[in-house]
Amino acid sequence: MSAAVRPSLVGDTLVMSGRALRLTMRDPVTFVLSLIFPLLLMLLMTASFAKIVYPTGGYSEFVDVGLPAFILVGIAFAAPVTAAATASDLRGGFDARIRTMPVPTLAALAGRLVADTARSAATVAVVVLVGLPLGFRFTVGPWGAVGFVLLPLLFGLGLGFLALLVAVRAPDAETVNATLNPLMLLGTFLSTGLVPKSDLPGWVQPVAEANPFSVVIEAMRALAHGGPTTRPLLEALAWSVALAVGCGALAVRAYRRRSARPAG
Amino acid sequence: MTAAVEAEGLVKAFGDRRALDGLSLRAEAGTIVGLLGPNGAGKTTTINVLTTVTRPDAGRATVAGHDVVREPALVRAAIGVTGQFAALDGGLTARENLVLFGRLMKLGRAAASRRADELLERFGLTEAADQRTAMLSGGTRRRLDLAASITREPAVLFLDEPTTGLDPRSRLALWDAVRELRASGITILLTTQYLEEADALADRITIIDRGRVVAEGTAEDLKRRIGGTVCHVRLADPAEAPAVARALAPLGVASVVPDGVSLPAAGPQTLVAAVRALDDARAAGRLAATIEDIGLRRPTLDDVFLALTGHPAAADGDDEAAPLGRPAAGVGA
Repeated sequence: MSAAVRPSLVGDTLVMSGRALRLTMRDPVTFVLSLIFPLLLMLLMTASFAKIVYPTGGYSEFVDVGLPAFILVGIAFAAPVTAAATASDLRGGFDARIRTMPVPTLAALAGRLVADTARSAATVAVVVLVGLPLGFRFTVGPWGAVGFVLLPLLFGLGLGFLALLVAVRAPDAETVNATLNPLMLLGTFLSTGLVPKSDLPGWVQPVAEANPFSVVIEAMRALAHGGPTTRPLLEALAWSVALAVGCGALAVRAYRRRSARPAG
Repeated sequence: MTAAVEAEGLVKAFGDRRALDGLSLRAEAGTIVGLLGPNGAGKTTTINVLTTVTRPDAGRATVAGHDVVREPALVRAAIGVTGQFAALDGGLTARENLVLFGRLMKLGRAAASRRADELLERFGLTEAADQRTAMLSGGTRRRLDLAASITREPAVLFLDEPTTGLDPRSRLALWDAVRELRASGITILLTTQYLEEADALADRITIIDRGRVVAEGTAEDLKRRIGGTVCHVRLADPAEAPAVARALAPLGVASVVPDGVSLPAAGPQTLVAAVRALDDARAAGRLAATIEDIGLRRPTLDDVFLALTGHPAAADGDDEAAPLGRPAAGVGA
């Protein structure tokens, strides 16, 4: 009997991804934060600020330039929800059961990240589809568009690993939210995503420029609209991979250590 | 008989506290073994070692013939575990939980689905099948948790305080389910703080204290070990117990128990002597306690426990090394 019951990294990750996707699709908070919130923000901010930010342009220009930021808003603000759910898994007994089953240690975590990436893809699709009639344009061609879609997924994966690290180390789900939400707020709004750098106060400019959200947004703009692309793209990829690998390694280490401790 | 669980000289320290201090244990295939001990005795740590969650510092253990340290994957394939806290996904329905755990036990999609239906039926969970488990009552969740640990019939099932916090009705229902599992040939290792639970379910009982085994045998063996009968004094106010124990001290080792005082009895004469001693103490003004009941009875496992460990079963000791899971503040996404 037991010969067939072996841990299977691919198979078990798929099963856990299916579970995580089901939970994601069932969660109204995730739906609102990943799909409704970025659209609302795009419509409201365009209506309120487009004429101020671009006095000579207008609504369509604000959408065209701001769209990458709205995509990242949807991806960033849904990440803490998954992380809080993971924290509940770890402390609520679910993880304790998985650890006694013939399942690779990391399948549950990997499943959450797969579902997160699917959720990010839905955000990209919805924001782009609504943005197109409002003024968003791809002017570089199909490969630029492909890159434009994939880059936020990769950065979202980096954010997912960051969120996972917080989830594994935080004492409970509330702490996860309290830690991640301010980070995501700073990341998305203290950036060059919605206002040109030159319009930001002097002391904010270097911070906004160094912010990885700005780096990714600038690379997405280049992929959609042209201009120098290689450098911003490499910087954005470097940030995404660094987040994923750095936070991922720390999260896995912390997760493995949990099993050696007596208490949850 | 062959051993389904065999542990020898297990040691596990957390900091300078030895949760397990040379613990040995054996469960014959197809039996229920009760692991009894107060909080902090090492029950949960024992389960964690045997289920491959915690690595022992020393000693060895095999479960279903596989070494827990060298062949954890094989052990995991052969066991089921039900902990103190229902280890389910609160965001999934009862049925979805069973299918999920069945799939993780490598049942195919169709087989996992069939098995889920079968278990829902068998554990009286058909009405709960399509409800999210976060909405289920405690007793229903425990039954589902038990079902989830046997999606693929295990050789050995670990039940870590399976009825803690349950109402008496749900407890009896769970006991029936456990007996049925034994009848199907599964070896069960059960930890509990409830001596009556071990008495009702276990074929053999191992009593542990401070990470060591202090006694092993059938419930009858253990009761016999401390003698035929006890003289038990039940008090209206347990705070009076020490005074009563002092009054009875000349008759033997009188110990304070949760509801009064208990004294090993040689026969009816002990009862007569005890009544007289209490009367004398009262007359001398050394005793004011209200005695609700005094009489001879067969020893319970509580008495065994007290005699062997020097403290009652339910007393709070050091914090037990808790299982990985704790009650969740929230549920899955």
